[in-house]
Amino acid sequence: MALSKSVLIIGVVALVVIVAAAFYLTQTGPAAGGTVKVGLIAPLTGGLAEHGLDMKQAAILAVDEINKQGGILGKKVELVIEDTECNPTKATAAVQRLLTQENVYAIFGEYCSTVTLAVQPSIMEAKRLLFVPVSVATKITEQGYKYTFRTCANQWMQTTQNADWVVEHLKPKTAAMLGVNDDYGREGLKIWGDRVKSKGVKIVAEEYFDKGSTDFTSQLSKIKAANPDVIFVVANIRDAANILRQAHEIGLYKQFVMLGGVTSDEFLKLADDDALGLVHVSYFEPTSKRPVAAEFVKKFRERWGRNPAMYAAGVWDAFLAFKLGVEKAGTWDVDKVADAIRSLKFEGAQGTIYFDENGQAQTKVLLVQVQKVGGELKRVILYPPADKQGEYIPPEKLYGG
Amino acid sequence: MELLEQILFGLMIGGIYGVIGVGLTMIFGVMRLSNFAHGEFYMLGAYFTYTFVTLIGGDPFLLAPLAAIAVGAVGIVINRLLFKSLYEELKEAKGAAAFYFQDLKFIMLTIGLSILFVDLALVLWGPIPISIPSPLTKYIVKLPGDLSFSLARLIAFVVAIATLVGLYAFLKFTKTGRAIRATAQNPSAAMLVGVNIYKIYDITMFLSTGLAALAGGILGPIYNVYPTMGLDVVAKAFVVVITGGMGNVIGSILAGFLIGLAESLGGLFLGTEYKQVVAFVIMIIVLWVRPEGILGGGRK
Repeated sequence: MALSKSVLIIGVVALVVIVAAAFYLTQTGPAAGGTVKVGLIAPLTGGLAEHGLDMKQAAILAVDEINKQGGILGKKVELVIEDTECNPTKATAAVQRLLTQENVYAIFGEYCSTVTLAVQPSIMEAKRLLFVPVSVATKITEQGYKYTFRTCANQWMQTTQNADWVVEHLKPKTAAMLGVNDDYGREGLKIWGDRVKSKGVKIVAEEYFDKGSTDFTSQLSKIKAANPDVIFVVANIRDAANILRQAHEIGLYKQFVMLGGVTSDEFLKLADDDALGLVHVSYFEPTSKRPVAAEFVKKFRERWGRNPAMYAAGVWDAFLAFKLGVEKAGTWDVDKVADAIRSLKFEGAQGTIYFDENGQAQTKVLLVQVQKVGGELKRVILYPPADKQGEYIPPEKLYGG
Repeated sequence: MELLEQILFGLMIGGIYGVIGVGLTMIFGVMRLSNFAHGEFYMLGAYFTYTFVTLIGGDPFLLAPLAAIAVGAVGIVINRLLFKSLYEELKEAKGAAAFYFQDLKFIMLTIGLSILFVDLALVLWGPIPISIPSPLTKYIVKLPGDLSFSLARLIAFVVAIATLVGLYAFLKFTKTGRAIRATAQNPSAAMLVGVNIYKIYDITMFLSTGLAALAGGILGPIYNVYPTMGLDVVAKAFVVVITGGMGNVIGSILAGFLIGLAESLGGLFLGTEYKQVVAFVIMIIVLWVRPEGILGGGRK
């Protein structure tokens, strides 16, 4: 009896080892066969699902386009999409699945910086490429990882360019800041505040709100009492729309400036006339006349029936960098591909893109103002001069007094 | 002036906290049920109002009561389909352990319902936030001393107060109201004197979910509408219920105002990053010095 039991145990163990070994052998060696798998991680459910949708639609479109043109080095690209809900624990599990079971060659994502930072080490250890199209935390591309590439401006780039424009063009004496109470909001307020302070602007109010808040009247009322010349806000589209509406409700009609997070047509629909006059950063405008951008917008509209938000442009450019990098390297060897991507310079939806040593794309940030053009709310590009579409209009002119 | 503005907005938000909290506390008091899906009925109220506005047309403030009734009907269906069998099982159960596990079953069930409704809303209405158009949000009431707020906010506050007064009168003076209070005090005794407690549970579910939906419907035009909006209020609703005394309707109303006001003033004096903390600190202090809640639990 004892013997048969131990035989049974040994048998089971042996079976497990054989199956595991067989599985391992069939799975290693990236991109064996006629397809190469890539993963997308994005918040497709939960409170940030509206942004995840942009990423997902752009990724599906990009992969279809690549495959239509014959794939990359003769291989078809297969997209595996994982939902993270912007939750680092969920995302870690999803990335493990992508790395071990799906054996992806590259991962695209995420939206939330906290998630990107959480999954980045395991992707780097597995020597897979990570393309970051949306997360802006400056730290992501400052850790010296060879296989990380970010195809959008980071928080530091967009926030300092925003602050510089404000100081130069609005010439404020005082400023107030309002941000979401997390790493994104706190980093944003710190960078912007330090930058304008160094140029002689006084910060008269610094307020925060928690994620999931819908009422901002207590923050706005304090800002109103401090009477600043300009108000800098870090918020997603939902909060930003509420903030502007409630500011006007309590009679606060100062110049608001925001980061790139509000660049979407959905935001304009949500905030409606309260968005009028807002100045914010944009990585990408669907009205752009540049051929690569116009082609992307046309394809996106044909496929999904709506204009792409800038997150979509970041994802699109990430797939472009991936395709061009592999083709330039002429091999799937991940080290050679990483080197090739570093030496790329290409026209993406967001403009001319090339990477620095850290894999950070040196993209140009646009500053836009929401204005009424022919009775409709439009983002009008104010800066840089090459893309300029109109003049800045101060809130006194828009709202009177 | 800043202080006055903060008090004004704090009280207005407090009224809404009251309406959401009252529904939750009723369900707890009468049905002994911690409804973690309460926020989702608030969310459904907002989406139903939006759907009625797009289908029928008209002002969301007029259609919100209709949405509340529709969501209340959903509440009754859920009660009949899911909760009733658990109550029947409870009737057979003996001993404290059985009741303990029963409670856990309800908690798990309502958490599951919450996830189900959020995902359902995601599928039906999509992830992109929606605003419900109403001209009343654009109409700003101006008071002397630079105070101003939208007419929509004022209407929401008036509706909240009217609903709370109406609910109180209903529970106090009508026969059904008395039966609900009797069931809350002692379900077995209520049954003995001829109260059909399952019918009372139906009515309680209808009122509770309808109240949450009404709050969603009248807040939808002021803020905006998205699938996870219920998750954002449910924690606050529980704070209100616990602070006011679990199952105590008047307590929840008072706690709603207290927390709305405390958040505003806390934001003003401590800094807005502590606004959210204030509500939870109040709850902890109340649990510490008066664990039954400011007005005590269960009493109606």
